[in-house]
Amino acid sequence: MSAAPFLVARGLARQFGQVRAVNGVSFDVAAGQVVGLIGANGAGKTTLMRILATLDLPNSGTVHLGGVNVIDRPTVVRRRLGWMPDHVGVYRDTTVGDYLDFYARAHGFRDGELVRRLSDVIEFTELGALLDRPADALSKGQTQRLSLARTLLNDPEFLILDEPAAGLDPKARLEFKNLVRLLRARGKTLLISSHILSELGEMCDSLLFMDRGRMVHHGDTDSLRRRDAVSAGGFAITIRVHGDPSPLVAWLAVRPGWRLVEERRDGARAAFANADPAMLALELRRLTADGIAVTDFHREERRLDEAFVEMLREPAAPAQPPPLPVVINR
Amino acid sequence: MNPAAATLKPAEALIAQRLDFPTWLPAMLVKELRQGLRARGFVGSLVAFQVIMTLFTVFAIAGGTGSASFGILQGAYWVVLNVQLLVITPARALAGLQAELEARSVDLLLLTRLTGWRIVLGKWISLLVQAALLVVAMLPYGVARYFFGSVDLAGEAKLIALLFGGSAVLTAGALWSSAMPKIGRVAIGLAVVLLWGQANLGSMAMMMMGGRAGRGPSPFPPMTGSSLWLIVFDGALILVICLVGAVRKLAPPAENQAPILRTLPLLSFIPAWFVGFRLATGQLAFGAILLGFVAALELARSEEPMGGHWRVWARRGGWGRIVGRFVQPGWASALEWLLLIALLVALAGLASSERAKIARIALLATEALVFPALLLTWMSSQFTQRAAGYVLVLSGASLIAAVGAASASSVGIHRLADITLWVLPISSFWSSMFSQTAPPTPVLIAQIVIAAAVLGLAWWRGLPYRRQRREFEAAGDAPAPEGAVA
Repeated sequence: MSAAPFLVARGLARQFGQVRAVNGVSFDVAAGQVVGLIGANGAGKTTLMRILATLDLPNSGTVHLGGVNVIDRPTVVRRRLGWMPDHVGVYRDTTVGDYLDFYARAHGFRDGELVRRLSDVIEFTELGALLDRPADALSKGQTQRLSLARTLLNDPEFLILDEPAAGLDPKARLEFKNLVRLLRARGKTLLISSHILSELGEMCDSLLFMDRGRMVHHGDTDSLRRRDAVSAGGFAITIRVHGDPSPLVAWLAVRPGWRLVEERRDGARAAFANADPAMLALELRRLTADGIAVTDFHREERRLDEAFVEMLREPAAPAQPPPLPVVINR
Repeated sequence: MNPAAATLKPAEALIAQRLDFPTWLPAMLVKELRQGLRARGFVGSLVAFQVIMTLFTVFAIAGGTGSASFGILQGAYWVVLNVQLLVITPARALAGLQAELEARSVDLLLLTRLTGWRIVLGKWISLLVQAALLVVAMLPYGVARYFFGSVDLAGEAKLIALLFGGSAVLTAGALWSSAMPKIGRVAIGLAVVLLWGQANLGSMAMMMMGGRAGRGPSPFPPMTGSSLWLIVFDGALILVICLVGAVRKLAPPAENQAPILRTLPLLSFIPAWFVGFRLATGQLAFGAILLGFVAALELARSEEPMGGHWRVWARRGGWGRIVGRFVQPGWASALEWLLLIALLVALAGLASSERAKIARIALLATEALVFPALLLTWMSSQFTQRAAGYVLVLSGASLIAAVGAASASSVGIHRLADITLWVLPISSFWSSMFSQTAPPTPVLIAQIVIAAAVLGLAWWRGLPYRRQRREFEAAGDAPAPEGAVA
């Protein structure tokens, strides 16, 4: 990670009775990054997010957000963060306008400042036409926009979004992704928890994988997608040809570094020993120079959900970056 | 259009037009008033009481200006005020925190500038404002009574203020219980209504039937001077304890309510220095009950020590560290606090001729309060209804001791009956408290040995808690990690 970390968590642990919900979790998030948090139910995601959001205290470990200790100075941190949980928390007999007005007042905005903040978030989330609508009578997509509007009222630098796309239809999902892009463009740092891993891959710069309270992976999405091919003894390449695939199969059999994995009707799936893009480009040129009519040549990437499931099958690996020695609640 | 509005963008102007309450009002109060004034509970009771009072006024006018007509109007007026303040308002509070818990909005509120206190106070004040509106709506009928008989304005104002105070306390209590499971809320609601009915309805009905004229009737005994101030003071203490209880239901673990809660019962002893002997005795008894209640609440809690709570006190230096250990959340710290108070009571008793009895009662009371908490330490951490468990053990042990003693006595085993009543935890406290004579020396020794064993065992069970606190103490404060961007 090149930029200085905005969020620094070290040795976080939270225990409920005998259950260690979060167990020695350490990670950094750079300012302006969008980070995905992935884990099965009970992995400790929600507990971790609640600690980051100042709503829970760890038994040990530290968290600093923008240099401020989250545990010791929760009220200062709360002004800099926004939390969008997986539920909206709307009240009966309350309109969208009243709902947002209440939260704006609760954030301490008064008079013209209150009006300007409300106007900004309503414009950003396009809720202007819904202000008089009862807040509990909105569609799922509108409800999520309302929830995001509430989260943005205090103009937070750091946003925690818990399952933001759950239950949204494809159109609303697309709209939501666009909003996340806009937030990133505004320089916000985002931590997004989701089960829809493919979407996380599109939105996030890096991913945090949690399993049984531990951080089992912290890295960018590309490295995760390509791990599979490395473990198979080479990088998986799909090659499609025009016409008969047997010349391709014969070429793969004699060409150094290549190994045929599977012959297909329109080509083959093969493993190549080197992932260097320059080497791959050279091999593609040789393939065409040898008279094979290549219509498609690409390096396979593992789907994120496959990577996630496989990672859970693996024995517990140390977190990346490796956890520092646990510091008791400092 | 005002000049400021002219500079607003269309969207801003639209929003500015929608602001129905001034923006300087507390956010929670505005939200609760918006919801409360639209709620069926408020609108329904406002309309219903207006209809009732109109009917009674019409009946009274039809009956002429005799004492019977006045009695009817007088009774109806006070019954309606009583119902509004002591039943309807607290009953509406019974849904107060439940609405937030059902909407799962507590966390969202706490991430704003609202604290647990601001949320609870917003709800409580809003309910009292609505109650005040209901009372104000009754004023025309209060004035109408003047034409049917004489009205003691000062006395009535005092009575309404007391009713309002009672409403404030009951509403705070109802807010606290509103986060309990439904069965608990229903039980508390019924108990309040029954108690209220017993205390008030009979006298109100008599007033209506008897046609009593003259001074406004009072459901309270006559109160003047010190006793009135003591009632107000004690009511305020109960009120704050109820509000702290409600705050605790909402507040995140980072907020520690133990310091205020453990201080409140100690305050109740202060007025005893300034009043006469009879009132002082009553006040000390009230303080002891309040102390026992708060101790029970605190000992039933299971929180583990948190570094954040400890550091707040540790930063205040040596005294902060000493005081801090007695006000950490969780039963183990509450045990230290209770032992300290028991010690202080025993020391204060040295000046009395009954110093031995005072010391023994303090020891046995501490044992009785700690015993259920000790049993709870062996309960699974999944067991969340710890307060209910505590009450069950406390009342169950008393009941078993009473039944056991009665059974043993009925079959002639008096020695067993004596042991059951005098020696077992909890029952030993009750027996010693209400007995006029001291028990024989062997019983006395057995009481002390068993109490010491219970307290020693509880101290031992609290060792992991204290060990962790020592680790926090050793860790101290740490700067932000290098490289963190501010």
